[in-house]
Amino acid sequence: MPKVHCYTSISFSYLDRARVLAETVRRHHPDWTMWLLLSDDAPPGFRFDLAEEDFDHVVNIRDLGIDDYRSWAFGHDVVELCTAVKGPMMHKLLSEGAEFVVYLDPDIAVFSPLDHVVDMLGRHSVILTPHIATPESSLAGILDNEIGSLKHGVYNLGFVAVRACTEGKRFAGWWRDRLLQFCHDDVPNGLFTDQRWCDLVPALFRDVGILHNPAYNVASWNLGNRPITIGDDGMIRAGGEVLRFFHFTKVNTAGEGMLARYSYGDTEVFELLRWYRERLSAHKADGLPDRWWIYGTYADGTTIPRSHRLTWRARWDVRNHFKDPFLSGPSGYQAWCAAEGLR
Amino acid sequence: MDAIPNDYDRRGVIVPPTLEGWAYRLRRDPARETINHAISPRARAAHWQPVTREDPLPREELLSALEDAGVAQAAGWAVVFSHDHYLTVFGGTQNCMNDEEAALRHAGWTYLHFCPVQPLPMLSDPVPAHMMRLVASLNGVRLGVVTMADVATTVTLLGRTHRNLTFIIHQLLGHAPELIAALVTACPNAQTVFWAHDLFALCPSVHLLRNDISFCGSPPIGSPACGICPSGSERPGHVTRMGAFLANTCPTVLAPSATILKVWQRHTGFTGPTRVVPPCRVEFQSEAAPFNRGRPLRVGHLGAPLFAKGWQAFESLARWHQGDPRYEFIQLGTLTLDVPNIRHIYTQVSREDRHAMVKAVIEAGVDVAINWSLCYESFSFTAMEAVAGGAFVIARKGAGNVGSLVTAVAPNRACVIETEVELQALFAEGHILELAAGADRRTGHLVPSQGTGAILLQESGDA
Repeated sequence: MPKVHCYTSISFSYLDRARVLAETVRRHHPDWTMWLLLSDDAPPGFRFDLAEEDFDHVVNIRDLGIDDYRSWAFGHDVVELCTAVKGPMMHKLLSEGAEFVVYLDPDIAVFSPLDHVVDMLGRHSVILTPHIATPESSLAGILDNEIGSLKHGVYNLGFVAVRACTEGKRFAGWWRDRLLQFCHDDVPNGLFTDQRWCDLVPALFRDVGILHNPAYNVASWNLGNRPITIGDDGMIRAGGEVLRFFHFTKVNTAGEGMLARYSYGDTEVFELLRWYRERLSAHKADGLPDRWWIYGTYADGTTIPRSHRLTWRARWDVRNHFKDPFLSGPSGYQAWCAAEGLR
Repeated sequence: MDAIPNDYDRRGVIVPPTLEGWAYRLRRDPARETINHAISPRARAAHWQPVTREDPLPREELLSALEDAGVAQAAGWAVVFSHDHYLTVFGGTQNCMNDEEAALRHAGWTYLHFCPVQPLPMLSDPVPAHMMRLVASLNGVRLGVVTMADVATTVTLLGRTHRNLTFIIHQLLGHAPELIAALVTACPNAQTVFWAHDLFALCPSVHLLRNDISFCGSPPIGSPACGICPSGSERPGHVTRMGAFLANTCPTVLAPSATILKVWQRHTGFTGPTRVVPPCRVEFQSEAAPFNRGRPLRVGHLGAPLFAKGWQAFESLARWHQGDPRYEFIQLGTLTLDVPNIRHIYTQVSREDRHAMVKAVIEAGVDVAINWSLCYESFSFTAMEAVAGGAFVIARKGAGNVGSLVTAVAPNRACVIETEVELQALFAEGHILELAAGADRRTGHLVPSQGTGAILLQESGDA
């Protein structure tokens, strides 16, 4: 059985989520090698010790071989950046000899072994999970989930698995290249981070597998057609199949409301949510400042507005002029933006 | 069009004053709130205080109290363990114990009871016997605080020669079962009775309510369902300790209903002797008052307005039918939530007035009682009170013994349905009016059993 390498991508603010992911992957796949990809640096005084984590390895954004990575990072918000590095990381792991690589979003929890994924990796180059695998029958479902998929991508890139075959490596190289240039939240222009890109994957690459099993990547957007049930046998099921992994998207903001909308009065999904929040609390990153992200502020501590990032990535002349966009002071990019009236 | 002014009552319920009878919805979801507040038994235990700070009595004092009570000469001696002080706390299990004590003492037995000084929603962690403090009561009188070490020494000393010593275990919450098992095995001539009042033998969650919301049915230990329940992590150790207790004490297991005994046996794997001992029965009058069609059907909720006891289903109905001349909604109990369209009648059942609820149901003319408990009820006193009060009972199918109890006790006055949608349809379509009109309406009174007393006295020929 080829060794499976599994990674997730975070800033430190999502460390609690990544820990829950790693804990649950470990429980069901103790033989997998777990990687944590960090697009962040720890704040002063914050202790992060890999020996105390369920991860085997940590890779920092600076170790991905991205040219002038700080300048490149500046052009992304935290979601865009943590998504953009997924491509280079996938490519790196495959290049370094991994045979099977599985990416899982940090806000995923694994409830039982991902056997179908391992099985499919023996036959497919790339495996993707669609946001929805059943046509919607209500107007709300069409608007939220079908049109939502058309806007944000057919496949949810909280999960992707790749085999180190020729096509798998070709995919990884292509994905890395696109994400280095165009991992942007820009729906009007046909981009939504890494997801819209992967709409092209079944057309561009061979042997792509689409995992339709309702027990994988269960989330608010497909819950309506995959109700959660918990049987006397103690098994948790989604759409009648033993639940494999649940994607707790935005559980502390809009996510709970969407779960309520598509649970239709059933309460089982909220039992999962209670458990998930309990685990998040158990894995809280003690001592981490609220909303910490090393690439979120200028050197003087001011939050970097999105307008500054959009200008940075749109203007090659500006990027060429300011060598380190994070610097504060009268000759820095921050002061230039202020002078230009960018808020 | 003018906006319809909404108002909100103090619990956040949207009350549209100009739209009486319309559906209402809560701004909050009680089911989700219940789930979100579910915590582990250990976390809950952290807030529980001891019932007393008294120092333990000297061992000699316990011994002399027993000698003064004539334990050695008594017809029998019951040494009883439960989770709280049955003489001052009122409830179903405590009722059984009071009846049991009365029957045994009437037959010349001595009744010695212990409950933990530190109440807990789980077993006590294993502790040395001298650290385990108990409140002792002898023949209905509180003696004081004792240690389990002194209890073991004293009871063993007197018990070795006693011809008729019985240990009765009503509830092990807060106890260290190893200490009680050691006491039992030190008295080889004694017999042991273990009550399955609930499903505590299977999980620290006594009603097997996973996340305080759903009856879990005792799934395999370590199952994913246990993995998402706050009681799940405590369960393996708990079940091991309870299993060892049953194996070491070889009890006769008594249960208030065949329903709960069946579940209990299936999941404990217990193969020893068992008996079903219902805590009470109904004696009906021979005549019934005719059904009164000249007023709204009176629909009642008996007992506390608790989510776990199905209050939400009752409140939903009451709000839905606000302004509906067919129905009147009544709540009988000590607590009220002051909900529109629900009339509260203060009713307190106590040791002194065990029949208060039955009398209140009769006096209020309750035609239909909704028993929508979310728990897997082991018996259901409120269902029996409703039946004795002459009411037709609507039971939830998954509520354990409720359905089988009411259909067995009063076959022509109950219906068992599965979902809240069916419940709502019963009222919206008015089918409940036909069911109530055609039901047996005889009232009656509850006759308590003697609990363990009946079994022990029967065995010893003292009945």
